[in-house]
Amino acid sequence: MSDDPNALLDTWAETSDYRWGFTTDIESETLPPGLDEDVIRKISAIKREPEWMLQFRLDAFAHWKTMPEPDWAHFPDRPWGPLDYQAISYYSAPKTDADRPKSLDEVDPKLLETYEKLGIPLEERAALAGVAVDAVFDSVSVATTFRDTLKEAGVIFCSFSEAVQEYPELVQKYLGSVVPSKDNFFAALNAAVFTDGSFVFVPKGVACPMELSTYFRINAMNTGQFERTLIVCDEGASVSYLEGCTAPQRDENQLHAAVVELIAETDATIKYSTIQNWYPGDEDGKGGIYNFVTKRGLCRGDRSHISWTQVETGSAITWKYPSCVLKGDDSSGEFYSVALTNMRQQADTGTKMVHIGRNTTSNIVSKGISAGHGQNTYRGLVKVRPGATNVRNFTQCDSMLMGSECGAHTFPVIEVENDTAIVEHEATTTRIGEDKIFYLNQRGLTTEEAVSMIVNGFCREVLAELPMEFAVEARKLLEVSLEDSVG
Amino acid sequence: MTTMTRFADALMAAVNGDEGREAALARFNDRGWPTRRDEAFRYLDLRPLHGVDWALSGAQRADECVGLELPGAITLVFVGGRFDEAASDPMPEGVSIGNCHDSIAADVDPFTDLCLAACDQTLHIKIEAEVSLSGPLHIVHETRSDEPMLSAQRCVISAQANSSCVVVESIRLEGNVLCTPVTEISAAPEARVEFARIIDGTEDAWCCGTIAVRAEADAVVHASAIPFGGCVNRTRLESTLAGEHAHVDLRGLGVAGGNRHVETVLSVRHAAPDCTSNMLFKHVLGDTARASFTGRINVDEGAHGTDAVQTSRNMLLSDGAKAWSRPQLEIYADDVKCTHGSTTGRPDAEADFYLRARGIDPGTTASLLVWAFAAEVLDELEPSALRVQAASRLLDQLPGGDKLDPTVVAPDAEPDAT
Amino acid sequence: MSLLEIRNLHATVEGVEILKGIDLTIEAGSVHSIMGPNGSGKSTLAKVLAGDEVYEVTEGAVLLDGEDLLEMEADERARSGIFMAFQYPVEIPGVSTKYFLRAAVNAVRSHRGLDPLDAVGFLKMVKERAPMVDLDPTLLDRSVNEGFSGGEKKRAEVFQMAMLEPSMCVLDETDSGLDIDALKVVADGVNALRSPDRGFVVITHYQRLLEYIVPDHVHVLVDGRIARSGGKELAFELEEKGYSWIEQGSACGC
Repeated sequence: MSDDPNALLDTWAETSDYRWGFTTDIESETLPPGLDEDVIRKISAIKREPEWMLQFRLDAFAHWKTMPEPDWAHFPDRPWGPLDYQAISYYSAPKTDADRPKSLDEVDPKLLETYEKLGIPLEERAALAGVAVDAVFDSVSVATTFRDTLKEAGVIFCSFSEAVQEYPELVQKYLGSVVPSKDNFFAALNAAVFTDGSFVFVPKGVACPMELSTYFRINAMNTGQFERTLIVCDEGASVSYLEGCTAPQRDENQLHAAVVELIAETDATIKYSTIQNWYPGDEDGKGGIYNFVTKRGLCRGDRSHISWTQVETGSAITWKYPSCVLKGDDSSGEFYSVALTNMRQQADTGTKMVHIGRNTTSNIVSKGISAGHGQNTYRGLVKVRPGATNVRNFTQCDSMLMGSECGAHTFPVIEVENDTAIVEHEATTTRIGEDKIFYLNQRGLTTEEAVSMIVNGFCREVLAELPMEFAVEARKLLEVSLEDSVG
Repeated sequence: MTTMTRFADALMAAVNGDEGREAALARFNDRGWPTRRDEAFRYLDLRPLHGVDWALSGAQRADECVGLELPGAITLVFVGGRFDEAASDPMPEGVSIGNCHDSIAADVDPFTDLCLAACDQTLHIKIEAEVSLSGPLHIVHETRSDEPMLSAQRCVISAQANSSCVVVESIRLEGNVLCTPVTEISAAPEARVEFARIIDGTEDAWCCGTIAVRAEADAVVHASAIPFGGCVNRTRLESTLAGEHAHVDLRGLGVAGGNRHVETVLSVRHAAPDCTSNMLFKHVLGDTARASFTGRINVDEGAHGTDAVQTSRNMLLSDGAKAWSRPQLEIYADDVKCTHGSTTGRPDAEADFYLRARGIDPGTTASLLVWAFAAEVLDELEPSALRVQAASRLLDQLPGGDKLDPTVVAPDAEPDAT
Repeated sequence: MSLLEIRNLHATVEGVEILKGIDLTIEAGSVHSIMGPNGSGKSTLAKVLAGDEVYEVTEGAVLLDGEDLLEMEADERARSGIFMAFQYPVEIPGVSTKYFLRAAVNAVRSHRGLDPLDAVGFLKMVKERAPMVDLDPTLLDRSVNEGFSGGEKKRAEVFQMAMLEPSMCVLDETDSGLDIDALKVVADGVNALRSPDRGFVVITHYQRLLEYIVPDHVHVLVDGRIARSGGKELAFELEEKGYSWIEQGSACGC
């Protein structure tokens, strides 16, 4: 074993495998690859959607066709070619005899096995952790639990397709109100072809009695996933929503273009946490998920609060900027992020905080860790509009570099158009300290333990924001990668 | 471009078969003026320049020369970009005027291209190895014109190994003038260059310039840009640390009221190991003035031991003022220490209370805090006479500056009690 | 007429009441010490007297030489003779200490109907008074408090007090963060400034400082009220028995 910690880190980056890569052979009912109006009409028909929903999709599609594919992101050594959108299949559903299963018993046992392998035993987890799970397998919800408890509290938590059937007026009112269907290239694509996702509505004054959680999983070959999540918290309501994903190993690049919209009315609080561990591709950068996500929250009412927390360790390429539009007076937004890239991974992530209301505050903590040939970019915007008085923002952006082939980049934009604002941005970039590793070695820890400890310390502020069960999982995820760093 | 006949003809005539200058002109004509969609010009509206038919000559000397007084300085005067021998000191050895083909400005913009194309009187300053210039070189540029006038000024400073020099550029613009000063500084191993550009302009003058720096091993370059007036003041500061243990210190201060716009585009490239860079840029904005700052630090692969610090601070004094800040890091080496910090806000309330708790009236405390904020940028200016004069001008420009005692400029210069 | 008279003073910060009715009269020439556990409102009292706008006075009155102090802005109070030595002196980068102090001295002088000091007169005064607190005069060339050590900051506060010649000095935990030698220097400086026409409020958590600045009166502040007052021996009693002794006493009303 080499004595040079940085050499060890280089080795780690080269040897770490994707542990959780496996596939499940369930037959899928899949539309043939290709995208045109007919495909969209078919998706809408399969889902028995009302006319307004179809129209929403068709408008988005018409606009999408006029939009250029974005190429602005920072990808120094991964040439980003246009994707072939005609090679993607836009609908696949697990083959079942009738409609969706009504309970866990009706779910294909193989599916449940898959969750077991992932360490997410659905029924156990649901029972033990008190978490309601709306699991998305490919594009259709296959199981939902704890619906009754939630119903009792008045909380609506269901698949997006179900919401379109059951609560059309709510969906119609809020859909596209934060992320318009023409917002950007991938949001427009999502609006045109999204197949399912989650819908949450927490009525006035209700604190959602449990953490809501969704696990995503890409499985079928060449199937892009286009989830759409809509969470609405009415006046004085609150909810904490967890999203976690992991994907089986694949050779082919897969597109994931989700849209998440959050709306917080007066005095409402929404906390949205993500662990993202899609398949990152192999050491040579072959395969892996393209994760192009649009996430945005609107603090519409006074004193409303939206908090984004994310741990991003997977995907070949991630573009993701969970944002807050702070419209209500005294509203606040938060963004806590850990992004770890190794091998040939590229993460380009950050947030936008748009201050419109008076006395609005935002807090940004971003931790980027780059290893192997990984490239990690923070890209963010803090904007203070002219009428937004007494705005306060603090941004802390730290990068850690391991090994000599990786990169860390920071591109914040700060636009202040009101003189009463206080806006502060700090960023640092450092390598993982040899002196720290040595100190811990000297106290009897192995280099891998030391690295793990240092990385966890580096991310502590962000991990502390995750709900307990998630924090444990996130720490494990970081450790798993780091254990392999010194073989 | 058809409306710009006089300007286009004059440019064609100016390049006059010179290959480098023709290439610059071709680049300018091909690209045209950038729009706000261009990332580098996102905040600056160039539409007022569209179709303007600038003259390339015919400038007048300003009625009143308010140059800097730098003791022991050799002063060289340019009017409208053209050398005025009568008004200048005799040219010292190593300094000459002529044509120049090459430019170290790696990434040119339309203003640099205009300058490279139009300027046929480039000032060359060559400091021989082991030579230390005794006094500062003071380059005075004056352009006064009521008709649209382009003033293209270019200076190439080449400091040979282990030499040292101090160069001060003071630019004064009056009237309908677009000035595009380009100064290139090459510092050979162990050379030391102090450079400052002070810009004063009337309210319709534009100054869009470039300062390009290349520092070889163990060289030290300090460069400052201090715009005090003009409608639009844009400075591109671009530097490359090309040899081990090189150091650059880049500073900028913009004080703007009215509807002025101050823009700084900064880039520092660490291309060699163990180099250090320090950047400090501040803006004080009143009325509806705007400031935009883009600062990028690039650390190339292999540039280990890099230590780079970039600070950008904006103080807003009125509700119509706007500040945009884009501090950026792009890093491809792991053994580095890079930080950037950016703040925007009003004067600090705690400090204000402390001063008032000592009996100083609110108007004065506010002025004092604004002064203190801005003056920090001037701290390292060389020679000290420049620091004092820049500070005096700052005091004149500063909102509430009249409330402060002039000794605030140089408290050290007070007579000692005996 | 008393130098400073505080009557039923109530103050809040962000809606929370910190001072809940303080009565205190300070005669010229006397030194009052205010002691109390953390969070009892000691520093709040100092800042309210100095005019920090973070605190809102909701009830009561404060008179300095018979004038309504609460009507005055912070700087007017300072010119009228109130001086607060800050617990955490603020660093103000870019403002030279010399310039700042001359501006302050001349503001106070003009209030008293005196001519402003010129640079020479000012430096003469500095040279006279800097040795009182053993202050390194080169500190005056630096920015206000910037890069000063903890001890230097506190000495600079007392030095400013000597320069401004206030009638009412409020020392807010001036002993915090000082080692014993620095403490003695600061205390000597304060003692040298004691005079028949000057009053002091010395706020401290520990009795230690009062060994060097011997107070005429000691007040114990608990939960925003003066729970007990006495002579200097009260400080020694507190040292022995701790604050819980008073807190319990005040809780059961005896």
